[in-house]
Amino acid sequence: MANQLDWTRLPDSSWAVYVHHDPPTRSMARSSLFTVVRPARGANGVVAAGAGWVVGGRGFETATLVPTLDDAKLRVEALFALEYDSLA
Amino acid sequence: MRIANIVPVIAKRYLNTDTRKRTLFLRGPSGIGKSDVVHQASEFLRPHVDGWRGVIDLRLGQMEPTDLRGIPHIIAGLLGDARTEWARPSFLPQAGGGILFLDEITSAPPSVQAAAYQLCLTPADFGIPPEWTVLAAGNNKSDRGVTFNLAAPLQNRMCDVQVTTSLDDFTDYAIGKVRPEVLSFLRERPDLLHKFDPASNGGQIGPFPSPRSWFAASHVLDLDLPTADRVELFGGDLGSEAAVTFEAHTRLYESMPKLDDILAGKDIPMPKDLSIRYCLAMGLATRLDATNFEPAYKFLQKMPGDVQTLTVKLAYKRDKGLASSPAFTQWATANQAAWKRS
Repeated sequence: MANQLDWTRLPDSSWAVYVHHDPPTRSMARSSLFTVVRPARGANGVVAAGAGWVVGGRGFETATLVPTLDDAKLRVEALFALEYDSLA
Repeated sequence: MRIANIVPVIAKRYLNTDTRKRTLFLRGPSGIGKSDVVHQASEFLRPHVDGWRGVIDLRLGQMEPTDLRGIPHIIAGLLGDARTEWARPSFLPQAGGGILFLDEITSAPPSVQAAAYQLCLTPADFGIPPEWTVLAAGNNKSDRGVTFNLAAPLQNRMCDVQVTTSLDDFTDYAIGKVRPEVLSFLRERPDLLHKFDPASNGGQIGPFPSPRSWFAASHVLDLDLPTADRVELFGGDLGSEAAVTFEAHTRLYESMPKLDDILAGKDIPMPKDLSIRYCLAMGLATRLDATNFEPAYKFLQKMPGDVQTLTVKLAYKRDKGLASSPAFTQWATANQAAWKRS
């Protein structure tokens, strides 16, 4: 087993992406928030169909707009692999 | 323990008041960066601890017992009787928090180790506040430094860990700090990252390659010296075997396409020689950022997938802003096999 990503759907159609730590750290949480992916909103604050998805910044980069949820998943998983050194 | 794991271990031990009291002893070959990780841990802790004073570095191999214990002087007692008091050394901390680092502890003669024993066991006797932790470092006897066995009581009051290094640990730490020629060379010759053979020079210890001496060789490259002088200095830092092979590699590096052209997005053909490809990969890894990743990716995508991934991985370690470039998504899409889990 190794650290794994877990995608959780939120009520507002966003996704919270958690990292499950395995083995867990002794005193720390078993999982921690990696990033949030949410549908892009228009200037009026309403989710706009086809406007894309926003992958949240992780403190070191700005949030990024990608066209589809699949692109967002690809980006998050690549960042996760780089952060947790799980490249082949 | 891998040297890459030492900084978080020191930080966690410090933040726990029980483990902070017990000295951590980093034992390992010279030149692998034991002292350096102590300073890195200090910088890591600095923003988290009020009144952080950093590292006080004591080279025990150069000390005498009185240097630690202090010099006795006579004071008058309450009843007018004469008493002895020790004047504490001014270098021992009396306030704030930090790391008291006893370097070269295995090179210290037994009498100095005895004084260090008290320092490790009851630092309060020296007026050292509890917000200070004592760390130590030293070599194994097999490393052929000036070494003495640690006295059993001192040994028993330390957490004695063997520190090791690896090419990945070195590369992760050194990316952006040493010249790419060094990193690309070590990819080909990982055996020369640290190679100490006491019998190789007729029993006389000469220069040998280690992480520390690779940093020195990188500084030599910065001097832009004539070839003959450069090779002499490489030999002085790395020993003759590593110097000769590294010099051959630097010439290869000089013959490869210009990184500036690649970063400007010029159409550069991909060299066939794998060594040159690794040279280019390391060169790019030290210079890629969010602004130049996109033009450079035109060239990088012609590399084999594993070389692309290595380059992006190292560049990302150096500058996480790389991920904000559109080329990052292109790389992620094209190289899913490298990181996608089945």
